[in-house]
Amino acid sequence: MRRQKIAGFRALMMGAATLFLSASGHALPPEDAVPSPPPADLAVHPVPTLVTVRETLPNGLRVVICKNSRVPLVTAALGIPAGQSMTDSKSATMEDIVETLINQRSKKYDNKEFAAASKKIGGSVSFSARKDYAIVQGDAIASKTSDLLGLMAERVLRPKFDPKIMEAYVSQLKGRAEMIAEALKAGVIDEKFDTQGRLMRAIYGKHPYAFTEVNDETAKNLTVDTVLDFYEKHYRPNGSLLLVVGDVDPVQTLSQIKASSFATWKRITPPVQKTIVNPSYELFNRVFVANREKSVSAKVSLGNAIPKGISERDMSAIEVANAIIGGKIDSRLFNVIREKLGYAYSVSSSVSLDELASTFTIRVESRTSVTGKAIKRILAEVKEFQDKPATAEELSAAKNYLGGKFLKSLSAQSTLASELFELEYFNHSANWLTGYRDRINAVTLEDVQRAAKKYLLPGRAAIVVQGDEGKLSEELAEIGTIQTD
Amino acid sequence: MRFLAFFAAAFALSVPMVSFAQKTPKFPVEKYTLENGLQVVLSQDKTLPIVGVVVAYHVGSRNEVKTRTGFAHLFEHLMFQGSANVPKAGHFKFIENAGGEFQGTTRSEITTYEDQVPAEKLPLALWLEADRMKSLAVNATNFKNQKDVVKEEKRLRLDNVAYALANAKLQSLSYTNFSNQHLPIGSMEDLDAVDLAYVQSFYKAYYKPNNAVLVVTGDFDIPVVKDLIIKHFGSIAKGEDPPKTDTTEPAQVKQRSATVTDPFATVPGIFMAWEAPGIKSPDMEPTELLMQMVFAQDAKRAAAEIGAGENWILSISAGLDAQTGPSRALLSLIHRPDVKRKTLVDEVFVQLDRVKEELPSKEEVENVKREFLAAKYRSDVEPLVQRALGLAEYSLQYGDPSEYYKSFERYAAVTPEQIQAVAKKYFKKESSSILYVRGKDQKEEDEE
Repeated sequence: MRRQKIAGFRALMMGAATLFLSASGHALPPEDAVPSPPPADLAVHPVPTLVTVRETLPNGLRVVICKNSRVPLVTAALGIPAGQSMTDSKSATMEDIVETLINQRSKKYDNKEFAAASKKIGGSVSFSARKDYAIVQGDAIASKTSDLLGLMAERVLRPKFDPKIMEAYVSQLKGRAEMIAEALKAGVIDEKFDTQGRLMRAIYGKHPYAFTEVNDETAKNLTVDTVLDFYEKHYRPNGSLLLVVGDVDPVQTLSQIKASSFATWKRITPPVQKTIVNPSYELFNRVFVANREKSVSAKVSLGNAIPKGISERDMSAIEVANAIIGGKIDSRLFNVIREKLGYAYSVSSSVSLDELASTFTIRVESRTSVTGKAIKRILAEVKEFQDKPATAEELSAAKNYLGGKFLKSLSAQSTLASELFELEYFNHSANWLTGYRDRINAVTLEDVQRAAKKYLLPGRAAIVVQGDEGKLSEELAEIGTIQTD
Repeated sequence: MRFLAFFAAAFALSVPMVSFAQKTPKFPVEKYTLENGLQVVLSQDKTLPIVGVVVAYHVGSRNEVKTRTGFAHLFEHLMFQGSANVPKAGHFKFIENAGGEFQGTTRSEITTYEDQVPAEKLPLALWLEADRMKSLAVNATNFKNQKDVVKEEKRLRLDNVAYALANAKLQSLSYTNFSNQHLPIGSMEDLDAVDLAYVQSFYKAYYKPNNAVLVVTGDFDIPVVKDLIIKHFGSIAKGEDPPKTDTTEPAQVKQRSATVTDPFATVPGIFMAWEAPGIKSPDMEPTELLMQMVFAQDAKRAAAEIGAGENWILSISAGLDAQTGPSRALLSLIHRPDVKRKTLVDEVFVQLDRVKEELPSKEEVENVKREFLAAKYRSDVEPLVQRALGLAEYSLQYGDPSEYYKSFERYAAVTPEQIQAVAKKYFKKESSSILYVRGKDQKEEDEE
C-alpha cells in the first residue's frame, strides 16, 4: 500500500507556553499544577548474541555467517584490503579508480544486465572503496542467497577491464587533476568544491587518508598498467573477509561458499605495506580558505586527527564527548550557535573512528557576516568543554542517545551487517557489539573531560572555509595561521 | 528448500507455487480494547531490545470540512507543542535523550504519532503519548508559530517544487467528493483563516481514546506492558463517537482530463489516476503488483518499451493509494517535450492492454513479487516503528491488525491470472483521469 502522507515534523522551536487551551472530555490540570516527572525506566534488556559460524578457507579468505531471522532477507559483504590506506602520494585515489572500473562491467554482465540480475533476487549489489578496505555489499530475498553470492563474486573476481574504457577514464582523470590545480591556483571555487576532502588533506598531509583527490603526482603515474597493477596486487582472498547475515542456515551457506568461486580465488603474496607518514599533531590552528567571491554564506569544516591506538575506554569517551558537544540535536553547539545566537541553521560534530587514525570534525554553514564569530565561538565552546566538566544530565542524555542509536543500527539487516563487518574485519573483541552499551555506560564525567582535553581540537585544528575570502580574511587571521597548499 | 520447491511445482495446479517457495515475516499479534474504547495492539519481537510505539487517530485530511483544509496536519504539529506534564519541545528532547526517534504523520484517513526507543524506555514513550492524548496544551503564540511552520512546509515541499502542484490537481480531478479532493497540506487561505477555538473543537471531536489505536512492537513483557498501558491510558475519558464523514464517490463513467502549467517544470509531465481497489479488497495486492510490473522505473515493460532507445520517458513512477474509502492507482511520467502527449497516453494503454490480452509469465510475476516484497520487508517490517504503523493502519482501516502480516502472504500468493484480472477490471479508459503538466517554456501548440 502506498501511503499518501506529509510527514517529518520535528519540534525544534523553543518558547514558553502561557495560555493553555482546555478541551472538554480531556482532563486538564489547573494552571498552577506541578508537572509530574517522567516515569522510571524498566530494567535494561541485553543485546542477544547471534548464532555465528566462522571459518578460514584454504586460500585465506575468512568467512563469517550469522543467523538473523527477523525478516526473510539476506545481506552479504566482502571486504578486501584495497582501500585508501593502501595508497600513497603517487597513487592517490587509486582505490577509487579501480572501484570505478570494476563497476563498469564484469566478464558476464554489463551494468544494465547486472542490475537486472540483482533485481531478480529481490536485491542489489554495490561496490565501493573506503578508507581501510574496498567492499562489495549485496542483499536479496533469503531463498536467493546462493545467487547473491554468485553476483558478488562476478562483480569483484571477474571484472572486465576494457582497455578502451580504461584509456578514456585515465585521460579524463588527468584532465580533472589539471582542472582542479588551475581552479585552486586561480582561486575560483564553485559550489561543488569538496570542503570535506580539502579538510582531510589539511589534517592528514602525506598520510593516506589525505588522498581524496587525484593530484599532479598521481596523474603523472596514472596509466592503464598502474591501475591493473593495483588490482592484481591488492584484490586477494588472504586478508579479505566474507560476511553473510540473514535468514539462512549457516552450515548450509558455508557449504555453498566452499563450492563457489570464492573458494578457488587464488591466494597471492600480500603487497609490502607502504610507509605511513603520520599526520601532524602540532598545537596551532591552521586556516585554509577556498575563495568563492560574492558568496553570501560560508561552509566551514574544522577538524583534527586522533592518533592510532587509543584504548577502547578512550574511544567510548570520545563518542560520548562528541554527542555532548555537537553530535546530536540537543547538544552544546546546536543550542548555542543555532538556537541562542542564530549564527547558523545547522552545526554539528562527528567522530570517524578508522583503522590508521580517527578524525574529529565540526561542520557549520553560516552567513558571511557572522562566519568569523561562529568559528571563534565554536572554538571557545570546545575550550570551555575541555576546561569545565560536563553535567551529569548531559552525560546521561549522551549515553542514552548513543545506546539508542546503536540499537537502531542493529534493527535493519543492512546496518547490522555493517556493524558485524567492522567487528570481524578489525578483529574486535567478541563482546564488541553486545557490550557496546556497557562500555558507553561506563564512561564517567572525568573520562569525558580527559578525552575532550586530549583529543578535541582547540589549538590543533585545521579549518577549511569555503567563502568570500575578501570579506572573511581579517577575522580568519585572528583565528589561526592562514595557509595555502 | 529444494524439496519444497519441487513439491510445490508438482501441485501447482491446485496451490500457488509461491506460497511454498517464499517465506513471509510473522510475529504474534494480540488485540484488545480498554474500557474507554482505546484499541491496543501488541506484537512482540524479542530479537533486539527496542520497542516501537505508535498512536494512530482515525482522522485525516478526508475529515476536513470546506474552509478548513490542512487543519488535520496543522493539528499534528500542535501535538508537539506540549501537554500538562511535557513542556513545549519536550517530546523531542525526552525522546532524543532517551536514545529514541519520533515522527508525526498526517494521511488522508489517519494521523499517526510514532516513537522508537530502547526497550527500557517504554514507560517514557507511553507516558508521553498518553499525556498529549489527555491534556494537550496550545497557546496563541505557538499556534501562530506552527501555522507559520506549516505554511513554510507547504512553500518548500509543494509551492516551490516542480510537479508537486500536479499531485494536488490530479487529486481534485480524479475525485468528485470534496473530502477526497484535497491533499493533507491544504490551502494557505484555509490555514490563515483557522482560529484557536477550532483547535479545541477538533481535539474534542477526534483526539480521544475511542477514536485511536495504540500499537507496541518489539521487546517487552506482555503483563508489564499491559499494566503500563492501563496506568497511563486507562484513566483517559471516553469521548462521544466522532462525526461521520461521507467519502463515497460515484462510479466514474467517463475519462477526465485537464492541463496545468507548472512554473518550476522544465519538461512536461503526464499524471494519471484510475479508480482502484481499497485496503479491504482482495484485489489490492494484485493491483499493486500490476503497477509495479508494468510501470516501475526500471521494469521491462513501460519504461523500456515506450519510445524504446529514444528516451521518450525521462522518469516514471507508479503506486497504489489504497484507503478504506475510495482509492486510486497513480502513475506519473515526465517526458521529452518533443514527444506528443497523446502518443504517450496511448502507449500507456497499449501496455495495459498487453497485460489484458497476454497472460504475464510466471517467471515475470515471481521476479516482480520477489523485488516488491524484499523492498517491503526492508522498509515496513525491519524497523519496529514501521511495523507498528502497519499494524495501526490495519487495525483502524481494515479492522484487524493481524491482516497486516497476512497481507504479505497474499502478495506472495498473487498469480499471473489475478494480475490479468485486475488489469481488465480497473484499468479502463473511462475510469481514468489524466492531468497534463505543461513545462514553463512549453507552448500549447506543441502538445497535440
